[in-house]
Amino acid sequence: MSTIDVEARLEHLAAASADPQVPEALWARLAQMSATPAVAVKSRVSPAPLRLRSLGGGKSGRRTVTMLGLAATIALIGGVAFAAVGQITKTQPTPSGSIAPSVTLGPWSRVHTFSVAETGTYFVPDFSTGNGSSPLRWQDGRIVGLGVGLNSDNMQATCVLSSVDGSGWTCGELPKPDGFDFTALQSVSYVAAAVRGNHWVAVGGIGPSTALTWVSSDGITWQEVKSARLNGFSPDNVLATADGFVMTGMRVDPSEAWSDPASGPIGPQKLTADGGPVIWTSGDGTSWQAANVTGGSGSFADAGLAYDPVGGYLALGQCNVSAGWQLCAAHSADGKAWQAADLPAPVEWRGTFGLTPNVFQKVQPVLRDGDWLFDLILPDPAALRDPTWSRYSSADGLHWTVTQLPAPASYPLGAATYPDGRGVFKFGSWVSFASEGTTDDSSTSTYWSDLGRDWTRVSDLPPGTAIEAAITPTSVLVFMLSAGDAPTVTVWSAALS
Amino acid sequence: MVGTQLLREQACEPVASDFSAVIGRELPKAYRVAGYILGDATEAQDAVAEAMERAWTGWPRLRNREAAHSWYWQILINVCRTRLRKRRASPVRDLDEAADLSSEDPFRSSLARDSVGRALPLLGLDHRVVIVLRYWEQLTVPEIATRLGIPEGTVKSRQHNALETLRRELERQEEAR
Repeated sequence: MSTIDVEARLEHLAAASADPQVPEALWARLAQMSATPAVAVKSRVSPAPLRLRSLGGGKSGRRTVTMLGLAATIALIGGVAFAAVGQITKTQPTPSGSIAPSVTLGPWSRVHTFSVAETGTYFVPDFSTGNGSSPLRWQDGRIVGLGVGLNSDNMQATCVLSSVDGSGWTCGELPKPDGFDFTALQSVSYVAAAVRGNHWVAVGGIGPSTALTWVSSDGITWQEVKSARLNGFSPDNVLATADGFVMTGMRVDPSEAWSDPASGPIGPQKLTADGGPVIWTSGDGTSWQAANVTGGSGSFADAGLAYDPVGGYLALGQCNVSAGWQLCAAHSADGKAWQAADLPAPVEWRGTFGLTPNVFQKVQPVLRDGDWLFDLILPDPAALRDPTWSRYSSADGLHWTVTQLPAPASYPLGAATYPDGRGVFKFGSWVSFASEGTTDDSSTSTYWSDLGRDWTRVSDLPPGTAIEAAITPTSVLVFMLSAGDAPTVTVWSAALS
Repeated sequence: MVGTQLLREQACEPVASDFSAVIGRELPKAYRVAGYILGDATEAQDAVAEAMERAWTGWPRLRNREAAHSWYWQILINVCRTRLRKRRASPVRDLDEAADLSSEDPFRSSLARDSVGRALPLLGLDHRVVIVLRYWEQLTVPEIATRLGIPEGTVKSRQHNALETLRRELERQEEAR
């Protein structure tokens, strides 16, 4: 058999294939959109090839991110929505002058500019890795997250971005793993990075079945630890703990495969979360040990991880049980001994997670007044109604209650951000929040709420379109996209008090 | 409220200047391509809906409306790529189950007619996209390159690698019989 024969069979099969009618629901949704003013909402579009010039580091892999160009960088972010052009009249919350915010933001100041580069190596924050929450996370005194771009070989590359205050950024490229074969249809995924002191750890994988770990002592020069590879595991998150690192993800069963009874396995290995949660711990990332986990129904996909000095460690995610996918959590006091539990379904949830996995967005739980909290904002799978907003709370990380908050009017709003558990910041216009009253206010501002029900405008946003935000203990950073022929992304900082 | 019939009429107009006309014109092709990339009608509907939502939210910032068609296609392909990547986290499902459902799913049943269609899940995400655009949409290499925003050489290499993978798999199946 030759590839020509394969082509002939493909052509024949394609010619004989059905040409199904577009479902009426899609036409109806398009009609619904056409009747509504266009509203730009931060959504989960992968960044277009963006360009950052490599400066001042070169051979060592050190990259100071200085310039960023962009075509259409609409990134996912939890809770960021913004008005676009045109007059917008929409249901909105009552501007709540009656609620005195317990936080204040100082004036915005521009601290960094990424602009278009013409040549060189290009990196931008990898918004796709955030999966619903910011990929840039405050940890150990700095903002850390993954950046993505193209290297000099025109291959997709990933670096670890880091900044103390948003004004200067470093980008240490993660090398391709040893033995990686570009021609064998292999793919490398990069998941997350964490730092504790001079121990930096990034995790990813080759295909779905082998977990990879990179380590660094400065966040700039990285190497993959081949001896730390984990077969049968696909990581989803990594977090620094008091004395090491925690990694969550899903186990892979190599024996599970798409199979044709007549011809045997024909598909790739499939992930399975059956068999209980899988959590790994490590002192420095050079080796991993399976944590002791009791209870629960499965391991984690799309996991969110959090640590609080008082509340301990919390992992969230989807787990796979015989009845279908559901939410699950695991809690630990010390990061080593964990107890897992299944969570109740979100409000008005009518489907299963496995059918529309994209709607489950990575969440960032926080501890507030002794309770763990996180939000799930889920769009309707058929996109024919407004999203629902579920607020989860738990005193121990194992027993959870769900309450419904007013649904956001924009789709999708994503998860909220709590700086130190004090409240929720969102960036957008009133159209982002469904409540009483109407307005034609389409300006973009910063809003704050302590419980997510009543919102207070605390600041107007800098010029441009908000595409990302990061919270530090003392400031809020927003990443603003400018319009024009040479779009730029500027980083603005406002003091948080 | 713009009726769905009007949207279909707008979709047939040669010059599309607004969102509904551009997206409406592409909707049948988009649904078909998503269906054969994902191999599942429900997922295809979800993917097309998600791509519409993203396009809708980004529409005000799209400066070059003449490029809207290509822009929408890149959004859709990205959505399909993400869904394929996410599918690894789906419950295990074998072809026995797929066969049970095939009568209800036009994409799955079409692919199941030939072992070459049943072997498509073997391909990497980017390779599968190229195969569907090449054989189901009958696009040329330059057209695929434009639609995906990648060099023609990359399209050729992906097509070659995909065909070679399928050839090896079909030979393996024949030997196993």
